[in-house]
Amino acid sequence: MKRWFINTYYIFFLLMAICIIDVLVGSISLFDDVSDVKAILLELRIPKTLTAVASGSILSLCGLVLQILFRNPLAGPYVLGISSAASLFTAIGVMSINVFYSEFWSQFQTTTLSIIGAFVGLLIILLILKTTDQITVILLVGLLLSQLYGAILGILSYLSTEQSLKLYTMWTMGSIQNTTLYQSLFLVIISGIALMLILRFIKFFMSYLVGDELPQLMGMKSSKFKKQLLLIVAVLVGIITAYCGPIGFVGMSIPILVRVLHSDANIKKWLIHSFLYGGFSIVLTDLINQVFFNGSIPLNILISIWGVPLMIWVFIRYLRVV
Amino acid sequence: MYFRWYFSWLIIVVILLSCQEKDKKQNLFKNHSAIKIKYAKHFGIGEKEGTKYLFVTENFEDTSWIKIERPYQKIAALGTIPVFQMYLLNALNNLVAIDDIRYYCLESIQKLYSAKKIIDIQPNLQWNYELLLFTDPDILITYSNLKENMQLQHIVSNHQIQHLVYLDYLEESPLARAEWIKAIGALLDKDSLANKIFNDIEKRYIELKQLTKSIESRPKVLTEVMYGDVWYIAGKNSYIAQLINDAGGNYCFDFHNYENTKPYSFEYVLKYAQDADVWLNLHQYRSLNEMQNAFTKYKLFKAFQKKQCFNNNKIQNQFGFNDYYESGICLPHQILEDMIKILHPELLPNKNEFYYYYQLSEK
Repeated sequence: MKRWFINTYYIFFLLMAICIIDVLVGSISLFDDVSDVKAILLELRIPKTLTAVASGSILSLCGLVLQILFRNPLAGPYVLGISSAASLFTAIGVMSINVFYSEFWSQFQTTTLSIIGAFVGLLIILLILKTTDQITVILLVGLLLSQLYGAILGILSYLSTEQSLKLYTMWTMGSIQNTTLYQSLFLVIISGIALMLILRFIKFFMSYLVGDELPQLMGMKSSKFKKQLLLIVAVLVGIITAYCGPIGFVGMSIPILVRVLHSDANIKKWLIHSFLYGGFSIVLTDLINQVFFNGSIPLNILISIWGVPLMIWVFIRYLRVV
Repeated sequence: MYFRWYFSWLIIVVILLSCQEKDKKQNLFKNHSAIKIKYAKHFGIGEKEGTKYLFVTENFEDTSWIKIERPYQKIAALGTIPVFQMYLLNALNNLVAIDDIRYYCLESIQKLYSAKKIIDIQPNLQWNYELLLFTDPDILITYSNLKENMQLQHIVSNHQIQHLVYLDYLEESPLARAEWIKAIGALLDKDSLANKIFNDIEKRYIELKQLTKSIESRPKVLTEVMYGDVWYIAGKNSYIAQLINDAGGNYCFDFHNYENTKPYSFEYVLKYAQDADVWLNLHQYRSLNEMQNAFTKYKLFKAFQKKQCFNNNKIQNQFGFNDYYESGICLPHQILEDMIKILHPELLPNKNEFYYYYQLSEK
């Protein structure tokens, strides 16, 4: 059987097609309803679709990079504790009025706060990278930090009121709607740059997959490359979390899916396909949302609902080696 | 084989049963009420063998009864509405406990709290049973029933504390919600005062409603804002839709026939409300800039471009809780007056101050 789904051109074509459909579909019909079509396209539809593509592809690319680095299929963009830090700062903004009785934090927008949070999380990870290049230590510390942020968040939500708790919960469900056209274009450009940057590490990835010593033997400074990659991933995850909130599922499962579908270890294809599949999955989720639910279901819920059964099916059908 | 027969019969019976649609929403207590209840459907006051009873119902099937042999002296009221109604009835000295002090805008409550006359027994949404026993109330008023909370059930039955589920939020019309003051009045044996207060509210409300009754030009009104990725839209019989209609406005979603609220996408709202003239109830926002920063696409609405955005959080306590949902619910004529002033300022030329609303400016 010819596997069309591992042909890069097919996937690229599919991604383009679904993007165009996604732009054309929505609650307002572009052809019947007499309304400002230009404003709807430029202010709503196109930014939303571009954000969907960019966030999905970046998160899934980052997930793949981390899975290779940590040699662990359970790694995802969130193991470094960056998005937990962003969540924590957002929570402080939303809930502090109930807890600290001060309006200081609530004057900031959630986007600003999550950028600050992602930055703080990034700084902490950088400090750890400075002291060690042991990949297991970094993984463990990242997970522990997430626990710590989660605990502080727990205190906040325990002390806060229903109203702000709900506001925060809505934020954690992820959103691709709150971007302007320029912001979404910026995200797309970032995603392109990310792919270019990470593709430059292919040689390193290939030797790294064989064993820790091989990069050294080939004359590459393994620890330097690892640090550079982690830094790139941290920045990218920070940017996406700031604009879209913590989007789950894609970052961990799409890379696994891609690696299951490709029986050969062609890392370049893994990277490019994770990138394309990631974008595709979020646009598809948005399309399902628009067609069947009139756009009224939060992103993270819907993506898990259709994604998890599909993933399980794919694993059972195609799984050979993860 | 037999199983199949049984099964098909079962299905038919189930279908038939579900087809029986009764109009359950008739006013159960209308006929045997000692005190006339005009609008509210979820409570009544009756009399049996010389004893007064207050009864409430959630689904018009089961009713819970509370015997009122003598006026209740110590009341634990866990909710802003019953507490404000006690304030209206001048009965705050009968209040011994509230849920969480942060929810309250009422100054007298803040004073009583700092003087330790009342205690919050449900801080941070967590029950403090010891304090509940310490305050030793005769009656406990909560918004939820105690089915889920075994421990509280135990305490309430062991210590002879009466329990009243306060279901005012199930009422659809503004006057029906305000009428729940009669339930508090019955508990305190202040029925005539409660009646008088409610009659004044009703009289003013109907007066105001008459003003807009024959009005031809009805501005289109949009309400609420995005909550995460969705926009919760209230149906045509909802509290806010009725207020808008009574204030001489045209609610954008008056073709939505459901009860309560349902989530919709931004585009859907834009489709029906882009040309709305006025935009009301904007959650926590205090300026147009703040709104735009939170969600840039609000600027697509005509009401936003023309700066016809009014929010109801003029009076807030320091924790961000809004007096609109406290005194406003109990005194709906004040909300209606504000709304008429917004939608048809010419009808109320002498009104200069808003109770709850204000127009959002740029900054």
